[in-house]
Amino acid sequence: MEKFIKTFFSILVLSIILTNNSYCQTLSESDIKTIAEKINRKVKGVDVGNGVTAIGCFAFGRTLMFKYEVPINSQVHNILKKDLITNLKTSGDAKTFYLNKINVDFYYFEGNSLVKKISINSNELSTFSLELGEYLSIEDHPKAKDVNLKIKVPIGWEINEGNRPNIVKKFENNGNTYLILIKENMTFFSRNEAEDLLQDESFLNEFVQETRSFLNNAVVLDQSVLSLDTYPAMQFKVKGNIERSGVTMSVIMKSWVIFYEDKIIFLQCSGMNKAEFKALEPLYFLITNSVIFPEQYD
Amino acid sequence: MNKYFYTDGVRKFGPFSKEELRHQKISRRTKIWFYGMEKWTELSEIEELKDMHSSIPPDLNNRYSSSLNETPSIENQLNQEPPMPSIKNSQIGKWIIGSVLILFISILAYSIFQNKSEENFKNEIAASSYESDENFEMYVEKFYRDLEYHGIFPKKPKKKIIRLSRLDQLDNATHIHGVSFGGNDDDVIEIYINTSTWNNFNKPMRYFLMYHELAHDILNVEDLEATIDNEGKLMYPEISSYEKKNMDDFIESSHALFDEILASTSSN
Repeated sequence: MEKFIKTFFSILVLSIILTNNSYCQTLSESDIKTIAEKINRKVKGVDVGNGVTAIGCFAFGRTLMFKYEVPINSQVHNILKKDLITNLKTSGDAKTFYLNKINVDFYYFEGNSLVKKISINSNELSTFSLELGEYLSIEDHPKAKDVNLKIKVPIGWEINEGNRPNIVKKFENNGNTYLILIKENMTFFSRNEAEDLLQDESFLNEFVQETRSFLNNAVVLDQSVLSLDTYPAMQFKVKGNIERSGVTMSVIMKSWVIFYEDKIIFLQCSGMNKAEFKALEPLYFLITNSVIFPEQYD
Repeated sequence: MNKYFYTDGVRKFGPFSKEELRHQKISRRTKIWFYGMEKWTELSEIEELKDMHSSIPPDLNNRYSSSLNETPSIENQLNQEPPMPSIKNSQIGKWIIGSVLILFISILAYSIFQNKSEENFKNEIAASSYESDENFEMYVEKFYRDLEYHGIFPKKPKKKIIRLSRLDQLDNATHIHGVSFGGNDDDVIEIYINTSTWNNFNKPMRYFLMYHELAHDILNVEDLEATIDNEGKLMYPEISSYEKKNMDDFIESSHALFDEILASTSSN
């Protein structure tokens, strides 16, 4: 049976790769139907081993349905959902299904009788860990400008040094980035003064306008005022295009901007894939929410 | 027999008999009148009083004349240029001049002594100061940056001496956390910070101390009185009591001082 599952997935992976070249937007139901048709043409009637034959692949709404003919008295009842999920993750298809909100159903028939059905919701296929690891301190870092800040690093993400003067650290994982950037402010602001400043809507708009200026066709998706470990802050999310070596790429970026004494601290996450960025937003929120300014507790 | 009147220029005295007049405090120039005369006339010019006139000694016609007459006659003053008040030669004047002179000399001596001892004090502090790794320049840069943000643009001297010094080991300096000597000189910033103070102060207190001394040095701002009303302000002299203050307290107190300075500059 293990061989059967592996064989099946090798075909499935091939089909998905051929039909789905890096989706930048969540696929529509029509797109899913097209994919199902392509997969169906490839797998229909294929012997996947152990006497199991693929009947075909169909789409219903946002669900892909894979149907198989299994021999009588096969070990089909031994197929476990968790094994299927593990294999989908190993093959890399789980990420595509998760990001595009595609559910997967497996049907096993003995003759005309349905002997087993396994349904996997797209949320169960998330490959993104939302767990945070240990605190990282930037105290005494040469680029920290005397800011003493601690923040948790997501498990499985690399911690790298910033390659620009104001970027202190960055956490990276599969092209996704979360960075800590510290700039000098024009003067000191107490927490009360910064709060007052952030009440000024024209200041907020101007600030966001300036920050997003490196993006072409930038659109502000949201912006709001909050506090992070008692320090006044604002958050905003923008999308737009950037050009690198003549190639224009679509980027989505979320920033938390903290007014700390005479510094402006940017906690910034960005990604190229809207769906992936959205999937990681809860993680970015957790990282940001873990920030601590220890000096205030001395 | 005529009855005589005489005047001191303001009041009229009489009538007196000739004999009575003789005993009045009169001089040859005292003006006399009696019935029948058209106007007040000097005694010396009245024929019938010639004998009296010759018995009165003439005026000395100097500023001591009044002292020769037992009482100064007002008519003398009326008929003479009024003497300029001169204390130089008077006894009281001498006393006053003497006192003023002594006071002036005392102040001068005290001032010289004070300058001398201040100079010695400064030299002693400077001698006990030393180079350290502390980045005092950062505080200076931030101070000027904040002043400029508030619209205050003082001179930026090229010469800056900001050093640690073991003030608590010097006589008369054991209570000093920091001292500025550049207050009256716009061409230099000269500040000494007590080493043990610096080591014991936390971050907000260090900012309080440095901005306090820089305000003395660059803005020539004096210490406030150590009253409860001034507690929390940047120029409060007892910053060592600011242990519970945080950076927000420092920031707001420095902004309050800068706003105050700007307001006073604008009103001038």
